[in-house]
Amino acid sequence: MKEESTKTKNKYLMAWYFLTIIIFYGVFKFGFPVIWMKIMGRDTLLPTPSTLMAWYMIMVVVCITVYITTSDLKIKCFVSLLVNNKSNSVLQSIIRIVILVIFPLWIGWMTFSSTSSSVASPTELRIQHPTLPQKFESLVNPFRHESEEKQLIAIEEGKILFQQNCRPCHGSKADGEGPWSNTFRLKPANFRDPGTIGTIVENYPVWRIQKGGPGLPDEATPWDSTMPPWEPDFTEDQIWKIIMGEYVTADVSPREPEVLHE
Amino acid sequence: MILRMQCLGCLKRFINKKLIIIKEYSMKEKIKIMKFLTVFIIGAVICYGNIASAKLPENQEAITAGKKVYTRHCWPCHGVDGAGDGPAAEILEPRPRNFVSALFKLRTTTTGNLPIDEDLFKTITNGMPGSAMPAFGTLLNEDERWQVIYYIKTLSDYFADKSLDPYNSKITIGSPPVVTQDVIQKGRTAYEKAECFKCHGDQGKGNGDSASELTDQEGYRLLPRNLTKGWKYRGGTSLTDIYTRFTTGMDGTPMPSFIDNLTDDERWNLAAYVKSLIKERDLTGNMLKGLKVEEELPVDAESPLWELAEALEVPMAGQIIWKPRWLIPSVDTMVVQCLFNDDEIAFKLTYDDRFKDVEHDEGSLLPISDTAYPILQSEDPEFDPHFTLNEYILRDSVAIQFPQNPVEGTEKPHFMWGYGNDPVYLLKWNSDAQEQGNNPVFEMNAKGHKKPPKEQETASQAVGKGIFTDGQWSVVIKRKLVTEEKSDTQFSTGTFIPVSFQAWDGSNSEIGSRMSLSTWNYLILEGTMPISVYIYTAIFVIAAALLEWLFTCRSKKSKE
Ligand code: HEC
Ligand code: HEC
Ligand code: HEC
Repeated sequence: MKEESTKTKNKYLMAWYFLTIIIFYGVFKFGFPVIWMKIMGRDTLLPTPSTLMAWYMIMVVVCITVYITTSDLKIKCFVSLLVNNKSNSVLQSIIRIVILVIFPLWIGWMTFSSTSSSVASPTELRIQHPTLPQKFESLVNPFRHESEEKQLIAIEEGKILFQQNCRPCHGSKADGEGPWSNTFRLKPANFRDPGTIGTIVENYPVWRIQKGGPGLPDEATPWDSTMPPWEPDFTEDQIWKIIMGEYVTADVSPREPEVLHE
Repeated sequence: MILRMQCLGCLKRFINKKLIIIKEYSMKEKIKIMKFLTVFIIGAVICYGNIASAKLPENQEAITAGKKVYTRHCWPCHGVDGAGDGPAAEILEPRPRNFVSALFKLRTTTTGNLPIDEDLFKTITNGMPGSAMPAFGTLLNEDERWQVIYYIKTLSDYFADKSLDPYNSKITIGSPPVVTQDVIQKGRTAYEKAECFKCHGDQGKGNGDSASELTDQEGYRLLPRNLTKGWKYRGGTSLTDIYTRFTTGMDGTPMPSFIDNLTDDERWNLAAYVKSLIKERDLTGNMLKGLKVEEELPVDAESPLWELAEALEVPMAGQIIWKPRWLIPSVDTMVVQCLFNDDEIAFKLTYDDRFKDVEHDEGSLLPISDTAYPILQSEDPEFDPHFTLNEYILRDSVAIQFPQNPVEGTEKPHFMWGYGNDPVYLLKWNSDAQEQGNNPVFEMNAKGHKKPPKEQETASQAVGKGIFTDGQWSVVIKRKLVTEEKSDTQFSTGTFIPVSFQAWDGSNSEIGSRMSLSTWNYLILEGTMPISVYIYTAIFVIAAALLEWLFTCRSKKSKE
């Protein structure tokens, strides 16, 4: 019978399934670095980044799972390897036993490594934007009422102050990649990321710049923030300039305040 | 039995549901999905390989556009006229390049010549690691990068001079050899033949005999590279990059060109040797695991016991949180290990430091200044903060910092010497005390950055010893796990104790809050592995086996 023949053909479908995953893993993990090294003419291996690796593997698993579930027959063939059948060949039985044994062991190993390392790191939750203290809520940018020209001058001055003082951490491009950004466990904010100064009103940075990390409430882990308090260094006007320069350097604009007084 | 049936039912329903979802697509659609996914993967792979495109033509339009890019991104450092004197330049070491005098470090042209456009393109794309020069590869597209290059070339007369066309003085770079142990060995011979060690030191730590006297073209202090630190190579760490650097030399610095002293083969071997010196650093961990041993804890950093303890690499930055800020710290990585037994705890701190400074005399060092970034101050108007260090002699020291009181949850004192209510405890080792034969380890407490840490009144119970070998300090600090003193941190197994590190390099004029420091990491003294880990593992293995069994039973049944 036709059905019978396809069935025997695909008896090892499950074995192929796992083999394919393993082979692809090998190619991405060990093959790609060499291939890219050759293509790009480098003399060092270019290891696949772990996030990319995860994506590749997800794609592979999804693809072959989709393939396997394209027909009922394939699914049947897929599980058939696991079922003890009198008609099974020795090889099938061996593969079957190997899969049956390896699966629980693999699960066990995963649990072991995750529980034994979760002993290892206390999770630190952190709120990036705690509520703005009342005192700062009603502040208004004094330069917003000035002439266009004066505003431009203020922005230029602010940019300079930013480069002089904030660059080592936040980076000269305001992308959070200053030369020292990697030396802190809590990375300096990336102002180009829409999730930082792009989502807050203009007053908010005044507070953050004046009071720095130490001024944060406990839920924002002030003890880990390297953000210095700049109150002793700059007048409020200078801080407004820095903020305007900062937004321009980062190519984002502050969130418009909601209708405040009604 | 009933439970089993229910489980089976659940599984069945679950599987059926899954199948239905997929069954809803027709065969054609499924093929479509698969095709799409394949294309997606191939697309991702191609995007990953960053394929270079052609160079933009050099014309007036490009130069005008380049000026815009320059005034947007480059002038704060390189200056309006490109003289390397922008408003941020003052506080940078090394200084931004002066495009007018046009001495470039990263070239593929022979020494004394201008760089070709492609060299500048590479610099602007990758930045210059270890300096303030940022990588613009992600921010500017390729056209913008070419445009700004054409613009900075107009800032200097040299580029206009046709007789200086850099394309005529390009070096030829062959293909790199296959690196073997033999090649590296030959490279070492070339290293000695070319006397690289005079500046870079025997093991490449940048501590050669003439290392402390070097300056750049403009007279600023310039230390030879510590060749073991790959993250400080301005021009990249591939074999070809390294080969190019010492073949062409780095103009404006004492780093010479070796094109005439060494043959091509020798230079490739040397590049392989230099590359073999590079140590990777892994800054992902934040957990210092103490290892329990039965033996007496060693004060000697060379004791073989230390080889057993796991090491944590801690990144260090200059202290720029509070005034006076310090932008040019010397220590950038500290390797820490921890051993303990029933009674005591010991830490070993290893870090690179070019020069051994064991004397201390604060002399005419001025008190803390109020400017935002004081580099160094002196009453002497001739005093050059970047170079002259003869007014005072400062020692090397390191400190380990813990919260003084047990912490709750993840709450800690501020990592820079704590706050009023959350004091910290420091174990500080001073090289000058060791040199004089005194106990070099001091127990200190601090309550905020305003007052420097204060020595405890009772004599220090901690001991320690530092060993200096070829550009590296290895310092061991040892103490009782539990003490009587109220203002000491007490150590116990199984709890997370926040820990951070501080270092002062005397010849880099570091003292007080002019130091390098790290943020908080965790110390854990491991007791035995908690039993729960094994129990969980067992439960999961059994559950997985059970699942398999149910699955095979079900499939069998459905077959029958
Ligand atoms: C020592 C490194 C350092 C320096 C210097 C520094 N910052 Fe920060 N900054 C940080 C870190 C780390 C964070 C993230 C943690 C936090 O929110 O406190 C941060 C956060 C911020 C935030 C909050 C962003 C948000 O969306 O929550 C603002 C605004 C800010 N910095 C502005 C500045 C300005 C302006 C300067 C210069 C005057 C500056 N910083 C200098 C380290 C630094
Ligand atoms: C934050 C400051 C800063 C900014 C912004 C900056 N640079 Fe630099 N740049 C430097 C420093 C510092 C050096 C010198 C590094 C060294 O000598 O090790 C440098 C060096 C260079 C060099 C010299 C490379 C060589 O071979 O010697 C070029 C070219 C250069 N920068 C181009 C640019 C361009 C183009 C921009 C703008 C798109 C720019 N820089 C923006 C700080 C900066
Ligand atoms: C006269 C002293 C001196 C001698 C001799 C010397 N160097 Fe250097 N070298 C330096 C200095 C100074 C620097 C740092 C330049 C800078 O930071 O801009 C440097 C930097 C380097 C770099 C780093 C390049 C980069 O991308 O940042 C390498 C690699 C290097 N040298 C290799 C060598 C080799 C190999 C030799 C022997 C053939 C050698 N040097 C001989 C002084 C010297």
